[in-house]
Amino acid sequence: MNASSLQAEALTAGYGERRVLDNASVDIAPGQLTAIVGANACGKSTLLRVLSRLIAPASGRVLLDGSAIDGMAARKLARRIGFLPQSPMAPEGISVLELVSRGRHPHQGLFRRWSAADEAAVADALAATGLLALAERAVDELSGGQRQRVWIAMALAQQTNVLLLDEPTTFLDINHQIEVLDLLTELNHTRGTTVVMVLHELNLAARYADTLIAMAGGRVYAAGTPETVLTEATVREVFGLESRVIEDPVTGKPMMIPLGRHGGVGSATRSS
Amino acid sequence: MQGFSPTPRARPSNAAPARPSVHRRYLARRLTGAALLITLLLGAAALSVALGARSVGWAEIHAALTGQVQSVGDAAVASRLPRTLLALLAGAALGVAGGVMQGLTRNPLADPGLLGVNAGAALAVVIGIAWFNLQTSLGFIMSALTGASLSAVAVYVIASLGRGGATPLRLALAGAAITAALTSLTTAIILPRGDISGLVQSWLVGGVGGATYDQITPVVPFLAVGFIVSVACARKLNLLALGDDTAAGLGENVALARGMSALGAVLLCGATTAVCGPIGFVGLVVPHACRLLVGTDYRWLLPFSALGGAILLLLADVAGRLAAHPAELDAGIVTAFIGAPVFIWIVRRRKVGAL
Repeated sequence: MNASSLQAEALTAGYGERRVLDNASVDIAPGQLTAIVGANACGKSTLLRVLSRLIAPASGRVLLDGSAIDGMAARKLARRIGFLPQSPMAPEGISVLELVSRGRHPHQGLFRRWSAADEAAVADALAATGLLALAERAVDELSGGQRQRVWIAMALAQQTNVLLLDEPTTFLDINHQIEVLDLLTELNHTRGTTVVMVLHELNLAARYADTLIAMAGGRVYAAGTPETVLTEATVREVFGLESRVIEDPVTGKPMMIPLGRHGGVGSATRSS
Repeated sequence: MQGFSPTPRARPSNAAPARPSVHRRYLARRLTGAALLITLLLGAAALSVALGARSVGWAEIHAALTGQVQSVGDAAVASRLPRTLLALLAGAALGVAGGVMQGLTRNPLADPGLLGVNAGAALAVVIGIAWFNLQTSLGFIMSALTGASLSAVAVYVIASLGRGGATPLRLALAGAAITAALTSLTTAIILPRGDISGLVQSWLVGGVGGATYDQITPVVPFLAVGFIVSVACARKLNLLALGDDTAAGLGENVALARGMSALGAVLLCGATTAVCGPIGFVGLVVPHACRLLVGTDYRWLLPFSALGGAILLLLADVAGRLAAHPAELDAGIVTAFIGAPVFIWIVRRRKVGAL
C-alpha cells in the first residue's frame, strides 16, 4: 500500500458565527505518524474534521496527494481517508465481525455484493488488531480497550492510506492507551499508513509521534519533531502552563513535567 | 452458529482454514427465522379467514375462496378476504416504517406514532373530511401523505434548529411536541362537527374492519414504492447506526440517507394511515422483536419486520373479532393492549439511545 500525503492550506472554519480554525496550515508527509496537541477548544478536533471533509472549511483547502478533496466523490474519498470519531456508537448487540465488516462500505457499490476482497480485508483487519478470537462476541460486552481496537479494525478494513483519529485513547486506562498507540504505530510501520491523531496526553504524543502539531487559538503554533515542538516555551504558550521538559529516560524523547503554581512540590511533601 | 460450519468431510481438502464470514455465519439462523415467520404468517392469515363473529365451516371457507358466494356464511368469509389482505399489507408497512424510523433517528422508541407522522396524516384526513367533503380512497391517501410529509418535515426542521443539527434526541422531542399539537388541532376540528364525528372517530381508532378491495387497490402503488425505498436504505441505516461522523467517514451522505429513508417511512405510514387510520405500537414493537431474531443488520431486519408486522396486525385483528364477540374490537385497540406492556419492557430494558 502506498503512503499518502495530506496538506491543509490556510484553513478557516467554524460553527455558525464562532470561528474555530483561523488560517491553519499543516503539511503531513506520507507515512508519518502525526499527533495534534493543544488545549481544549484550540481547534484541533475541528482541524481533523476539516481534513476528513466532515465539515467544509469557510476558506482554504485540503490536498490529498496534491489534489483537492472538496470535489471528490464521497465513497472515493472514503477509500483513501479513514476517520474515527471520538465516541463512535455501536448498535446494541452487534458482533465484532459485523461491525468491522461495515468498514467495507466505501468499497461496495449499489450492486456490488460482498466479495472475496471484502472477506480478506475484514479477516486481515481482525488479525492485525488481534481480534480474531473475539470476532463472534458482541461489541458492548468488550472492555474499553478491546472496543477501541474494534473501531480501529473497522477503519483498517476500510483500507485507506490515511487514517485520522480523534482522541483514540480518551476514556481508556493507561495500559489500554499504550495498547492502542502501540497498535497504531505497528500499522504505521508495517503498512505505511499515514496516521494523524488528536491526542490529549502530551508525553504520549511526544513518545509515539514522528511529528507534533501544537495548536493554539485556531492556529498552528508549532509543527515538527517532538524535540523541536515540545519545549517549555511551547507548553507555556499553548497551555499557559509552567513546566520542565526533560529527556524521557526510556525513549530519549522530550518529556514534560508540569510545575503548577506550587512548583511541583505539593501534597507529597506536605502530607508526609 | 457453530452448528452451521460445514463438516470436515463436506469441505474440499484444499480449502483455506475457516475464516469468519459475515454472510454465511448468520445465514442458517436467519433462514430458520424467516421460515418460522412465514409459517406464522400463513397461520395468522388462515385464522383471519376462518375466525370471526360468525362461525363457519370448511364448506363456507372453500366456497368463499373459490369465489362461489351463495350463503350468508360464504359472504362472511368473502368479506374477510380483503380485510386479511389489508391487515397483512398495513402490518408489513408499519413494521418496516417503524424499523426505518428507529434507524434514522437512532432512537429505540421511535415509531410512526412518534415523529408526528401519524398525527399529521390524521389531521390532514380529518381536515379533508370536515372541510372538503373528502370521500375517495385516493383523496384520503393524498391528504394523508401530504399531512405525513408536512409533519415529518416540520419535525425535522424544528429538530435541526440551533447548533448540532437534528440529533436523535431532538427529533424525538420535536416529534412528541408536534404530535401533541396536531392531535389537539384534530380534536378541535372534530368537536363542533356532530355530522362527521362518528365517521372520523371510528377512523381515528385505527383498524382494518370493513375493508374492500376498492379501498385497498389505490394504496398498493404507494406501499410498493415505500417498501422499495425503505429496503434500498437498509445499508444506509446500517451506517447511520454507527453515528453520523462514522457514517460520513465511511463515505455516506448522512443528510441524504436520512431524507431518503424518511421518505420511505412516510410513504408507508401515510398510505397505511389513509386506509386504516392511525394504528400504534406495531411499528414500535415489531422491529424490537425482530432484532432479537436477526440482530442489527437492517438488510435483514426490515424484511423480517415486514413479516412480523403482518403477523402482529393479523392476529390483533382476529383477537379483536373474538374478544368482543359478537361485536368487534378494532385492531388499533388490540395493538395498543399488546404494545403498551412491550413499550414499558423496552424502556426498562434498554439504555435509551443505544441503537
